[in-house]
Amino acid sequence: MESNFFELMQVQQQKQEMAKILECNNNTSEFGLVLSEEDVNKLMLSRKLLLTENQRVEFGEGILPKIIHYFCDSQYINQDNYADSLDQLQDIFYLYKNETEDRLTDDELLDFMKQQFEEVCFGDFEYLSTTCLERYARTIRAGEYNQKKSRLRDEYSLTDKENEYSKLSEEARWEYEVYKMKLEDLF
Amino acid sequence: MKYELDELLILVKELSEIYTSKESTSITYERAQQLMDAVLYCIHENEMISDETLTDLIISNHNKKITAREAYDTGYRLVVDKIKKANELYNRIILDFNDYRNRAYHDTVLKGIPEFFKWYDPRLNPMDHIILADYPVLKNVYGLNGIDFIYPYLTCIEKEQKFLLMFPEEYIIEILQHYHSDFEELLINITAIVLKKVLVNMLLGLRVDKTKLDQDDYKKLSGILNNLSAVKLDEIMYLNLRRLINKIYSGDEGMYDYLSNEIANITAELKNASSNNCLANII
Repeated sequence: MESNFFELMQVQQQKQEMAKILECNNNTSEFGLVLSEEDVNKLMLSRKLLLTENQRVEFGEGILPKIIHYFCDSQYINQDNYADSLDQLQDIFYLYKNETEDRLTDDELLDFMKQQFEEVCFGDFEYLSTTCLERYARTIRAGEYNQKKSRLRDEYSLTDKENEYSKLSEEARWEYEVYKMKLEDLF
Repeated sequence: MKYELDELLILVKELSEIYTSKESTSITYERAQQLMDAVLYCIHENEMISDETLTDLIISNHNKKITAREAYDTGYRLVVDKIKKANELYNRIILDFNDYRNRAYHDTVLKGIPEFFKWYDPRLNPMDHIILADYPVLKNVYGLNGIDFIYPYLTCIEKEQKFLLMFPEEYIIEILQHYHSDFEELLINITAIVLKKVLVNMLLGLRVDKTKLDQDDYKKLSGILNNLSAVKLDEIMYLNLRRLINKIYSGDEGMYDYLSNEIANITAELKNASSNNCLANII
């Protein structure tokens, strides 16, 4: 059942995504970037392989529209390398979603990728993937992740020491005697 | 399967949105599988409703073909209700809880179970009860998971505490010390050890509070065990257990059923020790 389950998920969301990606042309055309249907088909096919390779599933619209949104104004991407660039970027994206153990949101990862791509790698995908992101992922896995939000994310790692306050807190979380005392008051 | 995969996938998709807070478009296979398991767990919970607890009206509704969403939603509510019941039960247990110096008992009930209530996630991971529950109970609940494991596990702990609290603490500690000098560190069931002692005393016609047997007692016990078949011994043990429950625990059927789980072990152990002349090592 397992393989059937994941394949069905992918088929279902592919139908919706094609139109979404083509819609992005409306915004990217001002940067001289347009995807043809053939390009989109190739990207979708590639995305399918990448998802399988990285053992991931997508339910909604997929990551391509977001990648397009982040990178459409890059000074290193033009119409000639647009489709290829997107293909490489989605490859890198899925790889590092896994490498960072899903501790980053899509936006956090894409934000970092874009910033490094423009200011450190100067458009070099190889350098972005094998050096900048590799180092970044290692730091994330070590626990120093870029927590933009102050809220706890317990559902990810089941720990309660993920924000600054928890690190400083010296309060006991569970005290049998206190709990018992409170119960005795109740009954 | 009773439901179409499409129906289940919609539920998995919704759970994935909760899991990622809609901030990630993809999840790993492993996580998707976990979410699918979470959906199936709640659906299974709905299917498990005992007919005895339902009114005719609910049964007739229940037998109608329901959608996966209805089954999931009802199942999820049942899981949450069960957590509340388990929490109330736990609160009752720990008021008078005594671990009799056994570390596994102490850690499981006073440290482990609160961690369960703190971290258990009925929405995204209901099949994971998180804790190890090292203290072994007499009922086989170990094939279960999530709250389906914790709730019956707590009912076992409640029965054990009710059973043990009728005896003075010093009496129980003495029996445990005789059982093993390092009893504090062992993964043992305290109730089973005390029950064995009590049933043997009843078999010998001794007072229950006599903790140490003398040579004559062992000789008498050996004689009784050699003259009885395993089946007959079983019968007597069940009978004595019934007498004990009726006399001290007001005929508590739940307690009788629970302690009955140990009778076969006790008789087998006694027969074995008798045939190997080492009764003093186990009683």
